[in-house]
Amino acid sequence: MSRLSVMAVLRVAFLSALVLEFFATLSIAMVAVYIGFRLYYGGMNFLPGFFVLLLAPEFYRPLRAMGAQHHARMEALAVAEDVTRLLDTPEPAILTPCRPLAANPVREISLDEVSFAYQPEQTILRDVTLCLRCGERVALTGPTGSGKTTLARLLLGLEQPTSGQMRVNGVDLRTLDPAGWFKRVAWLPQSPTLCAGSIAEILRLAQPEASDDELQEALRRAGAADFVAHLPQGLNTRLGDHGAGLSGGQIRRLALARTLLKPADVFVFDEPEASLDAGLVAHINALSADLAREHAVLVIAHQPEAVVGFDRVVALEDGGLRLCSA
Amino acid sequence: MMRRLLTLLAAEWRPQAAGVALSAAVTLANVALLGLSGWFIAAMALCGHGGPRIEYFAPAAAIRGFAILRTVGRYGERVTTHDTTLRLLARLRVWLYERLEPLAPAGLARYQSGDLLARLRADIDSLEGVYLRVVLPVGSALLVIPALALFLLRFSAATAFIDLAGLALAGLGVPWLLVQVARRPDHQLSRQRGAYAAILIDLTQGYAEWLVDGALARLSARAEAQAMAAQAQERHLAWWGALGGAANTLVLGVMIVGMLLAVSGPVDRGTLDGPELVMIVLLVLGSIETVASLPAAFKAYAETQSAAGRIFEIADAKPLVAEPALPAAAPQRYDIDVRSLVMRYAPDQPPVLAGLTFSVPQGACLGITGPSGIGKTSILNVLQRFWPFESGTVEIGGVPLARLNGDSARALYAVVSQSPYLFNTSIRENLLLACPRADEPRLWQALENAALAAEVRTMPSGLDTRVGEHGTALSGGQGRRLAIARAFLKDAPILLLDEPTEGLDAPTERTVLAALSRLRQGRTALLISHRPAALSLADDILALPEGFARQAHFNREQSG
Repeated sequence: MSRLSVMAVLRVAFLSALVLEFFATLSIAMVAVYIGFRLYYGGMNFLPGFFVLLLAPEFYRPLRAMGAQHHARMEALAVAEDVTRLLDTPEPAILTPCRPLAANPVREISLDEVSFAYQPEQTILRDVTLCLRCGERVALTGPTGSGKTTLARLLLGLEQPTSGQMRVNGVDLRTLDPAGWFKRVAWLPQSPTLCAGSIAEILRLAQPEASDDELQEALRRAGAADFVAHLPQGLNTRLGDHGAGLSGGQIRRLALARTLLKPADVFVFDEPEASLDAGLVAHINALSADLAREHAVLVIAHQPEAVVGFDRVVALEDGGLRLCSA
Repeated sequence: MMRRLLTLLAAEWRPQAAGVALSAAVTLANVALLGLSGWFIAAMALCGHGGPRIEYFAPAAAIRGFAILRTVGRYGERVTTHDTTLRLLARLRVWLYERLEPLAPAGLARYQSGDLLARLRADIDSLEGVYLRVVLPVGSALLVIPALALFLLRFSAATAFIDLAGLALAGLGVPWLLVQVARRPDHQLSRQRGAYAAILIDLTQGYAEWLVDGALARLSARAEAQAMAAQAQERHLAWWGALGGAANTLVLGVMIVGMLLAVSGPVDRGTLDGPELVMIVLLVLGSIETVASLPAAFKAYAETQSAAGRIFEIADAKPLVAEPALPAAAPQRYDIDVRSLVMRYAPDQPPVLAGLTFSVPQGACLGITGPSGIGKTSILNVLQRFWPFESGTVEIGGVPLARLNGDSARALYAVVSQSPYLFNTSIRENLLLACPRADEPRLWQALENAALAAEVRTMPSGLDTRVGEHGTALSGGQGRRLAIARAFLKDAPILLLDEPTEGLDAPTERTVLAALSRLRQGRTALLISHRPAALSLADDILALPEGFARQAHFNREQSG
């Protein structure tokens, strides 16, 4: 079916080549016959005639080549359309000049009446105000699809608020150098990506200079040391594509270990307890409590048992933030 | 290897042969057109200068005839050969798909998906080109060159010999040498391209993570380095290609000069007249066209060889789950009985399941819970025949699982998982996947059962609402209920529920569970979950404990 329809298109497409071919061929035949008769009646000398005959195919060669390249041109145009659409995507506005983040650690990040929408008519967050301080552990809950992950992305500086401001130590985030800011935050996304490579390579991606001991320590804190130790080559075990061969919970714990390696001031965990059993949920809870002693920690959670002992629990509902407990 | 490829492609030999014949006819017509034109104007010129009279109607008509033959023939050749290529492509794709299907997913896990994708697309493309780029030019040259040489032999043996030698050198010798030189870099290039694709996929999938982790620059540098290496390799190969082209032009130039020297004697002696000389020169010039596409054919041949090697490597990979020689009929009852099941993912890894025993009576629901990584999902992998097991027995309705072939085993199950795979198309298409013949009322009934109908009705495009890539346009709960609606439509006797409410908030979880409890009516079910709310759906619970006492017995009567 599809072969027949493709062929129907090609039959027509080849007609343009047919026309070119026709003229190229005709020229030889015409030149030969016409010059032949001119020579016959003595109107022309042999050498110029022969020369023109030799030239005839050459004359049409570029045209024929162009016909052959037409296909390539069509393909390139189709691809170029996609590429230019991508290149034309406006870059998020960064207010210049970029100031480097001051050397002192991040003490406080705050969202000030922040609203956000991916598309103009679909507001996800409305006038959200939230402050996260160093030494504090805040849980963010809310129904599925209420915008918790979006809020986390705003807090990380991965999205720009549609209105309102995001401040770091009282300074507008948009005026800060992004690279310097990203050095201060660590993030465990909802579905982390593991690039191909050995476990050590995956862990070292963000911290290339981390020692083996530091890796083991991070794995231990993430509750991943046991299963990594049971892998045939330990830290040097190569994983398949996107962690093939590991369970969902194991992939999350490896990603958590990668996050913990980072010497950050702010930690954002997006559902760290998903796909984990009760023992590990408790382990992760203890870990975030431990981190919150010297850092600011935001944990997105679904299950009530995962937010036990937090300084504050806030809930997102219908785009707005509500304090549940303090 | 090439022989195997050619046998694979031989099935369509008739249209292939027709294409070669047409191509040869077109080339011959073109060479003849040139040669005859040369002879004609030379003879006419001699005539005009008092030479012998010629009868000019026949040659002039023949010239026009050749011109028409060439034009129409070229069109016919293009249509025929492209049609043939499409036929071959369809055949190749079906052939490969038939071999890949039994492999997935256990057999394909060791290939990185980026690499696999690059391989399949690029390699099938280059295999598809084997006819157009290799068989056709070689076949055509093999027909045209001897015919031409025989014709030249009538006038001058030396010319025929020089033409043959020159064409052989330009069409066979130089390209062969080039392929030898380029073999290693070509191999490296295709490896580098695969690696580049794999890095790019990693890079884009985890973009935000790499940005925050500060790994973006490092990964981009890695991708860049890989791209540069591939580019350097390409440049290197292009140099060799250009050098080969230059060598060819040189060979052909020498051939023409040699031929002119060779015929000067006969012309002096008068055994070769003027028009014949002009014709021979033009025939030899025209004959160059026959070998023009041979260097490309050699290059394509080498590429095809490595592509065929890789494709055959995947196609020949042994399916890890062997299909039974004599498949049993589908079971009539749907109780599940697992005894002493041992399963591991790789020979050098400890077993994931070491002697697991449980049974589920028909119509019952067994909840499976336990620490993460203990092998809960592995049980489902075994049941669906995605992975093989080492020892023990698995029976469904008294029929050993190993005696069912993969398709009939998988037809027994409807699956709802934590991240159901939703295709980037409409809700309707995603539902029809489970039951292609379902009509509109049945679709709505399924949505009703899955407690999704009301929400779909309020969507502006209703059933034709697009769900986005991996269902991102739907909420998590909606995606899960869409998968449940799919399970209702599939109406399979056994349900496999893999953490169906993970990641949902309590109210959403309740709606999903209500839909699931309707779904499990009259079906046997396995439910993996950590969540007490979800496990309340089960008649009994198999708790896989930490450590390795993975034995449990399930009996509905005992548990009440």
